[in-house]
Amino acid sequence: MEKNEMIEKMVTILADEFEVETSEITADAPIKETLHLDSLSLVDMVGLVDEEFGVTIQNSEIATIRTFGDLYEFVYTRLA
Amino acid sequence: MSYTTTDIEQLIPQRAPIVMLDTFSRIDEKNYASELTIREDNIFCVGDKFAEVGIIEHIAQTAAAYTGYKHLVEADSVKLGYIGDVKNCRFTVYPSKGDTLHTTIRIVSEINDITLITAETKVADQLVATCKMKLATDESK
Repeated sequence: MEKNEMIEKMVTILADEFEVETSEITADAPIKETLHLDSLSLVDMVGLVDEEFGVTIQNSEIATIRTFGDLYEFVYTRLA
Repeated sequence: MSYTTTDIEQLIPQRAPIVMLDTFSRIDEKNYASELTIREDNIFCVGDKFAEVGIIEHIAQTAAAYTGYKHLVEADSVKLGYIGDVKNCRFTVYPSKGDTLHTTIRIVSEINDITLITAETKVADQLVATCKMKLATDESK
């Protein structure tokens, strides 16, 4: 999967699941604030990434993923 | 690894008549299985059928047994857990008294004290229920 294709798919599924506009999901935007995630819904985002891309984010890795750009990079490097 | 009626109470805080697991076993790191045979005196039976709430309780206890098992493996004490969320629940048939529920859960993600699972319950080859469930573990207890 090309990186642009992965980003497009990621934006679509996140916007759909968390009911935000796709335009709000930009590389620099903070994930938690943009998707209005709390401790219960954060696990949904991690589960979605696992189900849609087959990429598992470990407990110890979640703190390093702050923006959508961080998430794209994390997923893409594990898909490659 | 497999737990049966006699030692399942090591994994979950429930006690009879609320225990809704006869067995619990590990399939692999992300998949676990349980069984429950619905007996005459099961408190979740309505007439000859096993109610939805009993199926949910059975799935929740399967997930709780997983967190109990994980803590035991990590040489920690078993923690108290709470159902945080149940969604995408689908019930296709009411099991009857005497039926054995076979449930598999998949650990989708675990972040901090929250675990997200998907569950599928069958009687023989007949699908009974599917759902997604979130469990919160109280690390302070």
